[in-house]
Amino acid sequence: MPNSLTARHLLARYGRYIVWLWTGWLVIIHCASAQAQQGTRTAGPAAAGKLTKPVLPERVQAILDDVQEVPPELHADPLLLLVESGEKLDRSTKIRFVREAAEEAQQASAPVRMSSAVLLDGRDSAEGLDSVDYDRDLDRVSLLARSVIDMAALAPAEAWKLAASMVLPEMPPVGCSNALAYNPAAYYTALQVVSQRWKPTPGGLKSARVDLLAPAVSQIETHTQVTSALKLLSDPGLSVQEREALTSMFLDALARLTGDPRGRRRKC
Amino acid sequence: MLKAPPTAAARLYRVLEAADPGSGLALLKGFRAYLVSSYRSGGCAELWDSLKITGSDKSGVIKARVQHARDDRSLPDPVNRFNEDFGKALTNAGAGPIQFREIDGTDPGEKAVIQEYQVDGLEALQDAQRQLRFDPQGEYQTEETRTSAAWREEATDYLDSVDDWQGDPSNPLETAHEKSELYSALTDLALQQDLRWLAINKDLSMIENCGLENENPSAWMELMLELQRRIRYSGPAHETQIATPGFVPRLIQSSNASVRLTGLLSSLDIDPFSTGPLPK
Repeated sequence: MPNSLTARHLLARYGRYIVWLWTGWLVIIHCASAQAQQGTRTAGPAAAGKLTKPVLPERVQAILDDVQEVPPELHADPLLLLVESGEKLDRSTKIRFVREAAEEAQQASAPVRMSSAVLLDGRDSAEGLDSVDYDRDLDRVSLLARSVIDMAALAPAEAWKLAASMVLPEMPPVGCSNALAYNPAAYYTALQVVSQRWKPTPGGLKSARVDLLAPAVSQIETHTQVTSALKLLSDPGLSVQEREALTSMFLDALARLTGDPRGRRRKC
Repeated sequence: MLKAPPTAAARLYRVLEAADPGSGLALLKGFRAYLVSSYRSGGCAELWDSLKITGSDKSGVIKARVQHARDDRSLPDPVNRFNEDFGKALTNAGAGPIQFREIDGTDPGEKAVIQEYQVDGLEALQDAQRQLRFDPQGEYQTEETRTSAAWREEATDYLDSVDDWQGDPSNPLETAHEKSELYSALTDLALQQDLRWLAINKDLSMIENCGLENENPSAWMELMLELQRRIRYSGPAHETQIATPGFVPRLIQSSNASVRLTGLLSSLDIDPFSTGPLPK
């Protein structure tokens, strides 16, 4: 039995070394495993986050948590402020914030900003106070317009879609006894920003920009829209054909504009 | 004399004419018709009046002024401006400047109704505030007086009175604004840090607990930001910081999530007054 003898011989001669080696190996495996488990506990969420959402700075995360508890206006505004402030956030996070803000904006209680149509003495009257409050731009149109403008710098195609989905609310005429008039200027600013970034694509609709801007110049319900529409039409980025087409729509709308005595401005 | 910047209508006309001479004519005629129609159908009283109109009953004055404008056959400012901007082009187009007889139609409508605040008990608190600010001779109270024990006691009583003031329960927004202004008067006057902090803290507590953020978020935000604005230094940019130590941590520790949010944004140096793409 030379083989058995050889094995027994080897075991007798080197057995203690084999046991040490085996024990050492087990110790190494155990330590590595423990280290790996500890690593998962500390870096686990971060590592998992990298696959889905990046880990946000603590205070930004706190803001993200707190906005879930507040009314839509106060939910959308901080998210937009984070994007607008230049806070160091990656592009996908910013886009996520703007999308969330745009969704919340739709739920804002005030449909559109109102501005003082007569000179008021600051906060000493209900009308003056209302006017100051509206200046915070927390109405539906202003928040959506901000979302569109912020998105335009991040994802122009998505901003275009968002801008195209914006619809001005109904603005029934306010009487002369009312000191405030509708001020949807933010809607026009957002459209102008998106329009300026537009580049024709091969095979794309040539009339895309006219289609985007047409509602803004053809659906005019209040006199305060007139100045904003004129500014939009003056944008140097428009082609001659686009401007002529849009100006023609604007003049048709202007001829139809009646009523809304309070909206009439002393400047245009 | 500085020349007024071109109106939006004048700018568009120039752009149209620069690209294709004669293409601005339709705009000119359309805008002329719009102005005539707008003024002819009356509009509100202020449309004809270029002077400041304030809350008290001045309807008689406005009516007289409008009547004077009509008697005088003077044109409202925007119509004058339109005639100045486009006089030559209008004549060339055969339309001519807008004449008074074209817009002399319906009488202008009423003026805006301005509801000035008048809340019971407010006057007494404002008197108390004046006494803290001025001495019996009408001079500003000196720093020495404003650090005295007597002034401090008076100031503390004043803050307690503001706490107790109910305002107008049917108008919580107005009440909150008035209370905030009353507290802030002491924030401005107090020279001792603890007294100043007491006034700020009372103001903040009122904002935290008034419940307006759900009812009227814009109004609530204005209250909150006004408090922040008041306690910031208004010096050079590098000095623009929260002046009262502990204010931002106090905001962040609030039980009110909306207040916490303003604190968190402040802690990141995000200034809602200057941030954002829309003109402020």
